[in-house]
Amino acid sequence: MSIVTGIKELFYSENVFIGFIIAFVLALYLEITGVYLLMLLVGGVAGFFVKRGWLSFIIGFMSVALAWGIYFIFFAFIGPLGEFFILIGSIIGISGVILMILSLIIGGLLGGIGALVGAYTTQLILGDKYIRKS
Amino acid sequence: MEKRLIIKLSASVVGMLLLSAFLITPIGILPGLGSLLSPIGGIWNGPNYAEYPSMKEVRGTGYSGTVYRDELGIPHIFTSGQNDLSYIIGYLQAIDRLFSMDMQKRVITGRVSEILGSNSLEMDKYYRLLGFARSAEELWNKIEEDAQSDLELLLLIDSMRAYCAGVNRYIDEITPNNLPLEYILLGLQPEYWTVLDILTFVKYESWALTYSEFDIAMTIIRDAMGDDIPPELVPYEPFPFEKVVVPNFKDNTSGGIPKPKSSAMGNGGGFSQSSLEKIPELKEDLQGIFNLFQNFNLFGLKDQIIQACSNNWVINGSLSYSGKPILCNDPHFQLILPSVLWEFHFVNTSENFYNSLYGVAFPGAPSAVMGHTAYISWGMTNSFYDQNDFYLEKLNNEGTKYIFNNTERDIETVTELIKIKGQSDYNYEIKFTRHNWTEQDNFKCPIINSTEFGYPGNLNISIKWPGYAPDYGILKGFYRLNNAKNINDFIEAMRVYGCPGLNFIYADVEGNIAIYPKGNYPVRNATGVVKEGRYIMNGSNGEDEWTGYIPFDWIPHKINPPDQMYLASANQRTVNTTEYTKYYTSYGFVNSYRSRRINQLLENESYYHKTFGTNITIEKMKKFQTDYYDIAAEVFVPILLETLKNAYPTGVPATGETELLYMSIEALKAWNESDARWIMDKDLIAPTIFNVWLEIYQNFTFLDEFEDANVNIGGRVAYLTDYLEYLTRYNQTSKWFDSISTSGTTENASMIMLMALNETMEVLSTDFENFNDWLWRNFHIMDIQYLQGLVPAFNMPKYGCSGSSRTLNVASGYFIHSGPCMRLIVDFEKLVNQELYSGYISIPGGQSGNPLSSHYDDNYQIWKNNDYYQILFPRNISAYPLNKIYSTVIFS
Repeated sequence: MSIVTGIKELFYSENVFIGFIIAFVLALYLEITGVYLLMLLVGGVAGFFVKRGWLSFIIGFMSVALAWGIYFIFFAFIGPLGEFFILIGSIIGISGVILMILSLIIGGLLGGIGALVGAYTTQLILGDKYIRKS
Repeated sequence: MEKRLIIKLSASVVGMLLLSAFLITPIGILPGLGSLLSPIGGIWNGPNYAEYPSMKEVRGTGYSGTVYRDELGIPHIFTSGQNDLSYIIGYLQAIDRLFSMDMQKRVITGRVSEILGSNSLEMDKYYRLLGFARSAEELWNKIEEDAQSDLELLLLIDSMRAYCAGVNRYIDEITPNNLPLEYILLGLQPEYWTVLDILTFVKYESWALTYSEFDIAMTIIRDAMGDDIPPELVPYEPFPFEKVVVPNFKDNTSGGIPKPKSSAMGNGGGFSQSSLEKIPELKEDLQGIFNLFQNFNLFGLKDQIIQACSNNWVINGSLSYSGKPILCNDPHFQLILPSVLWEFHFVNTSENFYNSLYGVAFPGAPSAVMGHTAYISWGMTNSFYDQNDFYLEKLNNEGTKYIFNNTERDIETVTELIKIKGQSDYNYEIKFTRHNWTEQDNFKCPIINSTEFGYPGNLNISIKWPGYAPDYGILKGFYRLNNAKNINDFIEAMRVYGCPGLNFIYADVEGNIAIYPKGNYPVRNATGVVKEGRYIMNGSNGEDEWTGYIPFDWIPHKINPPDQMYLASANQRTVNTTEYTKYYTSYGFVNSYRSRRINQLLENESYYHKTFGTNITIEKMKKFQTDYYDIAAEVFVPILLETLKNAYPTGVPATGETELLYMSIEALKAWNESDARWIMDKDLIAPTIFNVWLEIYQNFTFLDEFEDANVNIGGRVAYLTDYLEYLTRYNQTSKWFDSISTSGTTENASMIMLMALNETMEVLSTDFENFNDWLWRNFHIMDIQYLQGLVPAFNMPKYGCSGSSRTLNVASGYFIHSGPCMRLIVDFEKLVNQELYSGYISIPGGQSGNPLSSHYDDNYQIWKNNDYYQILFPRNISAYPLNKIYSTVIFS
């Protein structure tokens, strides 16, 4: 396959795996800024590559949720996350584990909805050039 | 198809906007859910920066130094310059305490409504009225002006600026990943620190240690009950059983050296009183003003600061085990987490000037307030001199003019803008008078208007306090102490020091000991007859004005007393006022029990030393500092038991209606006859019975007369315990014991004591039906909270504890929020021999204010057990033990 064909493939057809990888790495990187709303952008990128509506949502959701999950695993290694769960639960009144799950869901939703916007926008722009896989 | 796509796109965009809006919307005082729960910048970062890194380099600062933190996180700073030290202290304090410093700043500058809304407006108005920030600005202007010809001031300015630079350097390093948890929860960002913030804090602490509204209570009592009552209740002269801070300091000589006469001094024939005429019809308004100030005290946490007070004492080499002095200090402040104090150790590595300092600082300022250098040690307690007055002002109807010295003057006005979260700003107008009889009193006195605060009568009362003056004596004083090497340095520090009045205790490697209750103490001598500051003063006729401050040499003090081997203070009366009569000191000292106990212990030791050749060891000093013996129990319990014996010569039946009385008497008898007698031990029942009984006995004695006169002085009735003792011991038929509510019967002390005991049993039975549950630990609960309970999850577990408001190891009240925030023992044997450890210390809290840090409460556990850790005091960096380096920070 020539490079040009490859690029056309990337832009015009559905690329679930590539979309997931790029979105996942981007989520890890952009989360460092502390601007969580950038996960919408991450989702948009996922949507650009995946293109199909509901699938984009799943990939966007998973890429961000997994990236945020990686951060929690990292925190567990470097600090007393377990104790912190207990402490934060007593401050806010909700179990720390449930709060963490809620974090992952929020991140996932940002990625998922961003992906929907990205997917539908891409479809609209591409029009007939969109190569839909059956 | 395209139409469907557009609809889907539109719906997803709307969904995205709704989700974003939901996540950024604040939840009460918490920020939005997104900010809260994001892995970076959210609450999850709390654990990540809780511990100190093993190595950190802070580059490009322009300052240099090396810091080792030991196993308790206490920093040992090796650097060669004062400014380097200040910078490093600023940086380290910011690491440990940034949020508490920030909140403290917000509170004392009246800026809490900005973040917590209108519920905090009353508190903000209080702090704006008192105007610490305003006063700090005036002080700063004066410092800048005078620094042009004062090298020491220049050095101080540079030091303060370096401190702020250190704090701000840390703030600049904060990222979303290491923003302190409290900031995340409140949706705040840290603010840069300025020199004004340091000065504002200094003003607030001075105020907290100086101010008393007791003058208003005295005025109410005088107007309602008669001129003779206040001096009877709280006399100027000492009771026979009191022990003063400075013994044998008389009018004509001090250690044999005659003092120079002063034009401001009295003639020794007693003092006159305020010229303000009684205004009985305004008593209700005065009561309102007093209630107002009581409410203010809640905002300023005054009752927590003032209730507990402090102890210090020093013994000379003759009495100590080593032939060198031992100095002890345990200041009593709020017991909160993080602790009000922050420890540090500094070694000046400059070749030209060697000194070393171990001390505790208040976070927010670069100086040690207590501690020791390589040569001297100092500590402090509150002197309780009468340093503030209230003036009843005469304003015109428009409130634009007032009368001073029978002359009309313009009122000064300042409008303070208070921002309120979620509401429009509040413009708060504050009015001022000046009582500048002398130039040094040319400062603004804020007016409190009763109508403005919802009380009747439109009274205008101004507050005059030496701390409002732009006087930098406190800065110079502590700067000199931090660098002191000998007794002359100490005296020069005392010479410049101004406000608040503190009993400074001292010892040095040469064997000198001293005590100096130094402060700017007003002399009220405008009429040629010195006045007490006991009542509200007349603000308009010029007769009650201040004419200066007590001269330095005339302030009672003692250096190397020839007639005793120790010196001690516990906020008691400064001097025997029957021998020191030319200057007025104060009427409202703390009750005498702690001071009597430490004098009892040290007098006994002095006797044993002279008789048997024994000495005081460090272990004994630790026992003294953690002593729970209550002198009030020693006095009152035998009297009560004797009264009971007379009332029930054949005893009390052990069963039936008198069962509880029988058990109470037996408990008190057993206590009285045991080795544990009069020790307020948490595992005993007798201390509970005694403490509650004493309160009720005191209330029964005094409150009926107050209630009959419609006077309410709230918790200040606790000041009357010394007078109660005097009456109980010497005048059991005093009118005070005769109950107003019973006509036809004349009660005496015995009857009131018995009634109080019956009431005690009623009260205790209500709380705990079972007598065996009357253990003191069930009533006397230590409650140390995180920042006054801001986040209950960060509080220490409550526990029942020994002690009382009258024991050396003080624990006031039933839920204890104040007490010894440090126990320090400096062993001069070790200092002289330049040993690695210089003494012992414990602090109820850790270095770090981060609740997730292992250094949040590690010292607390030591303190709770009445234990100590050694003060690590290496003289140079090569002497620092390598196995005690737990974290290193290098500044360049």
